[in-house]
Parts: sequence; structure tokens; C-alpha cells
Amino acid sequence: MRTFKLHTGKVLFALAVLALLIYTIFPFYIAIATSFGAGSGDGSLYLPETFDFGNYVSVFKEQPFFHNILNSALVSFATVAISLLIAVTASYALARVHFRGRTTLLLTVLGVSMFPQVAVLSGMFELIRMLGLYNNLGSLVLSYTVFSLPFSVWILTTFMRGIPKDLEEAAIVDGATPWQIITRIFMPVLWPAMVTTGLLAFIGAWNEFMFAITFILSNDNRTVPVAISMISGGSQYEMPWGPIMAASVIVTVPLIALVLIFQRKIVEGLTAGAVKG
Amino acid sequence: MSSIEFVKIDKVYKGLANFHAVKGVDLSIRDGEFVVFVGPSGCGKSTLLRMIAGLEDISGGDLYFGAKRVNDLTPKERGIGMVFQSYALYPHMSVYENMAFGLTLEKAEKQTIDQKVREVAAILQIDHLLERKPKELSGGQRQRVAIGRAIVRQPNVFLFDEPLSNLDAALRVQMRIEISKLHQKLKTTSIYVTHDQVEAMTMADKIVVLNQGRIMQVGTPLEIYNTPANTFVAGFMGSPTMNFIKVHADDNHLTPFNGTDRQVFEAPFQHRGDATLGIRPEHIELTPQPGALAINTEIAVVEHLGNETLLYLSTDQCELPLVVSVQGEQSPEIGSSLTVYVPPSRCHLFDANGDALERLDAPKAN
Repeated sequence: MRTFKLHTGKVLFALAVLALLIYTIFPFYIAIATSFGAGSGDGSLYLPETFDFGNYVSVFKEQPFFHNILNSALVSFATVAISLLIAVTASYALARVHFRGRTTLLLTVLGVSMFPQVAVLSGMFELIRMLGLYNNLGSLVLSYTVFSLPFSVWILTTFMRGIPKDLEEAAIVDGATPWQIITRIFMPVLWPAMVTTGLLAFIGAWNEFMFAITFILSNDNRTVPVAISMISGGSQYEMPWGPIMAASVIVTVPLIALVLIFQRKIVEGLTAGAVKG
Repeated sequence: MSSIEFVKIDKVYKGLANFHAVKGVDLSIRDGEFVVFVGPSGCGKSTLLRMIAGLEDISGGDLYFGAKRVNDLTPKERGIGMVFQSYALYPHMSVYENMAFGLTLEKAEKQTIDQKVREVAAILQIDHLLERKPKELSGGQRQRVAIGRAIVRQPNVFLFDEPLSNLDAALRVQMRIEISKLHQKLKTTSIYVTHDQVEAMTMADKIVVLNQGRIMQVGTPLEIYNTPANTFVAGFMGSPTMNFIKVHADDNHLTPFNGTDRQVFEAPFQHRGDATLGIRPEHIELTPQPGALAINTEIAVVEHLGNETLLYLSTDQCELPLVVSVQGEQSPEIGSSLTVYVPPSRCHLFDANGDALERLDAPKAN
């Protein structure tokens, strides 16, 4: 009786795991299978018969896709670099320097991030035009930074508060300037948190669509998500699923690579709150 | 190395209600002296230390290192080394990098840094740990690294902020001795903050007892023990704490206030009016003494500490139970009555304000 119970438990658990696996992996499977040229992408279940790289080749042939990837990379890295720089220095002030209205400021920062993108789209467009950044990658860096900052500042401020005050004072006694304290003490200690927020900012910038389609006009300046949406078939009634999926797979690879590289740091960043000397 | 001079040092925390943490502190510390600041929580001892370090602004008064006024100098310019309660080691750096950090910031030559770090590591016996990260060290080892980081730059003044309070009892005793030895070797002016009176008594050349932002008494450990300047110091230093009995003084004749048994006894003081008689638990005798005040008591609690036995005696002579420390093991019956004797030679007398009255017979009671 007991063994029976044990077995049913194990079987049920295995089934649950299987269901979860299928649920999460199936969309990726379809995308990869379609990109290799099997089926018509209508969602029917099938196994690819051949591995055909034709779709991958055509993605690069029919539009400046390589250029688009470069644009995306450029915009995303710039966004991450700028927002981390601003977020670290801002969180130092918000967590460590006592000034009037600190809490209000922190709440305002959080409040700003609650506006949906659409709400600020037209205002942002005016701003971009005023700055002469229309159809320029700078417009995307600017707008993505604006949107990733509140989150980054908030997370880093929380982490920064967790750093014992003694650590900072020890550095002051050792003769460190505020800038040296940030770069030599806080940044290494905050590294896991910075990797986590940086990666989230990167993913946000890499996948962003609405600003990218609004602020960029020419094909050469487009970022990847917009470029993929612009892939068209032979007629307006044909959806070229193969190339679209091939492009999507290509675009997903860098993200997976980044997550794998920084995997350990991300886990540390999510779990390690306390910094103990 | 340098002497330190405090002139009317004040610290006020501005806020809705201004908090006066340190009030008009005057103090001289000689070059090479080991000074311990001791007092209850919130007495201002840490604030005072942090003002010497330069981590806290000085609201009023002047602070001198030698002849130089240092009020407006940064911690680095003052040339101090500090050991924090939490050690505050940089978690991402190895022991070596932790100790070398200050020198690296000064852009000292690699060779000089290496030589100094290894020299200090050898003194502190942590030379085998140099490549480890702080998290791989035990509490005592971390403490040594923190001390090493402070001495590697050869500071003028060495500051300790309750450095041993995170260690277990055995390690605390060991580190206490090592810090004392280190001070004998380096002879750097040191200021040590603690709330532990044993640390204060054993380590200090000079103890500064603080309460509510004011200095209560400055003196050598034995001066503090034998001639406390007021009831606060008398009650704070010494364990178990000193017994106080309210008396009425008429020249050298003292009459206990409370109690039915109004005996008069003579003690070498000159005072008229209300006063407080102080007697340490270890100075109360169980055998009759000539001229001693006899107090009839009932045994309430007995504590066995092995080397001594503490008796808590209830009596109508004072409000708190009278504590008596007896050498060795004793097992008196609880509830039984006991007469104890307060010898005038070991008595302290404090006036109505709590300030100590001078003994007429000798400068020291022993």
C-alpha cells in the first residue's frame, strides 16, 4: 500500500513537471522548427524533416538584418551603461546622503515608472524632435534609459542601503573619496545587483518595439524587433513565418548567452541582500 | 603619534528636538597613552570617538592633535586608524588587499606596500591568511585583519569602537590581551570605546567614565575603583555593583535613614546633612569588626560563582537588596537571618548631589 502511494506520488509529480515543460518549451520548439523550414507555421504539430538554413540566409539577404542587430546591440549596451552609471550614483545619494525630501524623491522615481509607454509617447516624440534626435539611435537610448532608470535606481537603492555604514566609514578612514568609495567598494559589493538590473535593462531595450517604430524612420537605423515586424512575404496575404521565426531565434540567442554568462551573479543578486564583512 | 587635547567639545544633533550628545568635554590624552571611554549605551562615548576620527562633525569646541587643530581635517589628514565593531572588512577583497587598500589609495610604491602589509601580518600572525577573503575567516581572524588594516598606515592615533563585542567570551579575553601587548609594542596613542568594565579596568592606562554626554571621572583603573568621584561612577564600575545606604551625617557621625535600628557609627568624613554611604559587596564583612555598622538582614538569594558566592540580603536599611560577595563556596540557608558588618575603612560617602566626599584619614582607602 505504501509503495503504491509512493509511486502515484512520483508519477503525479513527473506528469506535472512534464506538463510544465511542454507548456514553457513548446512555443520555442515551434519557433525553432518553423525557422528550419518545416510546415507552414500554421501552428499544426509536426516534426521538421530536414534542417534547412534557407530562412536564416534569406533574413540576412532581404533586409539589412545584420545592421539591425548591430543597432540593437549598440542601443542596448548604451542604455545599460548610461542607466547603470546614473542609477549607481543616484542610489548612492538616495541611500547614503541625508537630505530633505529624500523619501518623496524616491517615491516620485517609482511613480514615474507607473506611466504606460503610450501615455508618454507623444510627449517623448516632441522631446526627441526638439533635440534633433528623430531617426537617430540616440532617441532610443534616451527613451530606454528614461524607462529603465526608475527600476534600476529603486533596486540599487535598496541594495545600497543594505551595505553596512561601517564599510563606507572604513573606506573614508582609509582615505577614499566619494567616487573611490562608489567605484572601489560599493560597485564590487553591488556587482550582483548591478548585473541583475543591467540585464533587465538590456532585455527591455533589446525587445522594445513601440518607441523603436515611432522614432526611427529608415530601414538602416531600425532595431531588431521592428525589423522583424517589417519582414514581408510575396503578397499581402502571405505571412512569411519561416524567416520571421529564423530572425526571432537569431535575436534570442544573445539574450540566452548573456543570461547563461551571468547566471550565478543573477541568483546572487536576487538572493543575497545582506553584505557581511 | 601624538597627544590629543579636547577643549569644550560639543556635539548637537540638529533636528526637531536638538539632541545634545556630548556636552563640553575637556580632556587631555598624553602621547602613547591607552585611554578607555566607558559608559552606558547612549552616553556619547561612540560619538566622542567618531569626532576624534573625523566621521562626525564637531559642533563646538576645539580638538587638537599635538599642537594642530584638527576640527576641519578629514580622517585621512588626521592620520587615524580605526577598528569597527563589525570589523567592516571589504568583502570582495582578500586579506592582503584589505590591508593594502589605504596605501594603494595613497599611491604608495608596490614594494613598500608589500613590505608593510607582510610586516604587520607577521606581527598579528595572519601572514598565512593573506590570500583569503573575509568570509573565509573566523571572528577572531577578522578582528586581527581589521586591526592590521588600521596599523598598516602607521596612524598617529588608534581608535577602537567596541571591537571585541562580537566575539565569544574566551576569544574576547585572548584578543584583549593581544591588543594590550600590541599597544606595548607600538606605543601609539590609543582610544578604546567599550561598555564592558572588565575591558576598561584591564586595558586602560586611563579610564574616562562618561554619562549623558559628560565626563563623570577620569583616572587610572584603581583610582576609579578606589575613589569614585560620584555615585554614578561608583555604581557603574565594579561588579556586582556598589551598595548604597541613605544616611544622615553629623560631622563624622553617620545614622542610617531607614530601618528601626537607629545606630550611629563613626566614619572619617566631615559632612552635615543627607548623604549616601557606599560600600562594595566585596568589602562587607560577615564577622564583627570594631567600629563597623552592623546590619541585620535576611538572606533572599544565593548565587554560586565557584570562586565566590554572592548573597542578596533584604534589609530595612536600604531599598535594594544588600549584595555581599563572599570568597569560596558557601551554602547559607535562604530565609535565615544574617548580620553583616560595614567597616568604616572601606566606606565611601557621597553628598546629596551624588559627589564623593573626601576621606579625612587617607588619600586612598586601602
